[in-house]
Amino acid sequence: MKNITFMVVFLSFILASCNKDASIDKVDETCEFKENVPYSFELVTKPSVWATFKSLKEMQDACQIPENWLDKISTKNLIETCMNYPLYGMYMAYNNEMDGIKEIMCNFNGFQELKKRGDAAEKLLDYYDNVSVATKSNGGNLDILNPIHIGYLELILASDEIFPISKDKNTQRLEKLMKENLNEKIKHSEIFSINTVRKSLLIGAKIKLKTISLSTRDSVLLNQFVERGGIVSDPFMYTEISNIVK
Amino acid sequence: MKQFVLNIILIIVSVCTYGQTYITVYTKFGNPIEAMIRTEMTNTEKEDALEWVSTNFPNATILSEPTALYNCHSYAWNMQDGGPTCWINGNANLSVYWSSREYYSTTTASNAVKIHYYNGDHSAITSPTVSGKYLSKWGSLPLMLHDPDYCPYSPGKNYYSKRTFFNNILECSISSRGVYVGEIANYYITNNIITPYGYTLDYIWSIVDNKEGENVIGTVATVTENGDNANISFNKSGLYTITCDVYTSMGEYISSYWIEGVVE
Repeated sequence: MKNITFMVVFLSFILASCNKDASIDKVDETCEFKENVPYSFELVTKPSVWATFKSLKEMQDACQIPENWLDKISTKNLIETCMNYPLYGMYMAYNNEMDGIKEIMCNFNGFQELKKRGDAAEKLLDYYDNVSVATKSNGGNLDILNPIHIGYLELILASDEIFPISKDKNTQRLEKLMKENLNEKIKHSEIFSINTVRKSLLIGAKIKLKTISLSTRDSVLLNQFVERGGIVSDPFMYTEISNIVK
Repeated sequence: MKQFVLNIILIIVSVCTYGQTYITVYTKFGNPIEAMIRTEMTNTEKEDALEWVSTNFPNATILSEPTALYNCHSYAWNMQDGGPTCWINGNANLSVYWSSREYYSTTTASNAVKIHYYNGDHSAITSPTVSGKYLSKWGSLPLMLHDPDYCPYSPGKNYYSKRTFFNNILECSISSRGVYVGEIANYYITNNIITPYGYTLDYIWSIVDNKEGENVIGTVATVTENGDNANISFNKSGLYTITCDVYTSMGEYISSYWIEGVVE
């Protein structure tokens, strides 16, 4: 009996050690840094794993970038990672989408890391320059983002958290890109409602507030527009805001 | 120059088509709430939103398509009580619904009919059909059936239920719920009032609208007095104080009996 008990305990110990080694191998596999690619959320977003999460906090915790990636990943790939963040669409759940984007950014370490990067603004502009809201029929070499995703990107830009809006060349470039996307959206109103258009206007409003001298009236109008996440009381105010922004 | 003019024309045409307008909706007791009529999303925007929410919240049940026409606060506090489809922003505007003289008051999670996620600026109702689950509209995303913390909002919550009667001795024949508009209820004194020898008792009924502070007998309230009880009906919802003052037939004041009645 004593021998049997000993064997059971011994075998259990061996099995436990194997399992521990296996789990360490699995952690190594998931956390191992890879050069030249964005961080992938695949391991947590596959349906069998994602469906086990019972709350927003569990999802957010699962999506954090491993520490050993944060200081090694290039800014370009970090931006792609932030754009691929699974919970990107969460801003649509908020009554003020500017609050929504801040909630996303506060709870994802990818954005915390991006804020530290000196080249974040420039690389974010490169990303914005490389995407298009153009319809698929337009073709071209640009990556086409769907309305929710372009909204996500433009809210990040408008938030002033990653891209500090000021009187510099980056802001001038941002303004140019914003106007191009705004015009595309307006041309395709069957695809882009005011709910998407106003995100471009938010960027424009922020730029004007920080870079030019406005009349008191225009300043109040744009400040209210920004505070309310792009929602105004009168439809014709969008005309006024568009005139100021353009 | 031509392109610039074209752009301005396009913007003017588009914003005339787009946009939103502020309106006023009212609580059950007639307090004004600022709301908006908003412009709907396109089919492409709705499809993208639907795909995102179904992929990322697979354990919640989607009950409608995405829409920008109404939000969580309007669904929970306004539309569930018969209000129009519209969008209601939160904060001070929303807190009117649970202010001290309004229809809802704080309660525990188990007794709640409405929930406010105070960190997430979100509102929900308890599902009337699925125990333990909430129904809520996720911004421009769909109306969803979900576990309380299985949603895109921080978990801190306040809970609300319909306010109960405030009662000081005057009873109502309908006590398990609020009285409906148009419904006749009997209000009565349960105490045995000792009548001074040689006198009879006079019962003076009065009804005050708690919001306006005005006497509403003959306007909002119809009263048929039967001495120490009265049949009363209301033609308008609200919170009312019904009082019966008792005097001797010589005009000497004896006592007051009152009840705060919810009419819905």
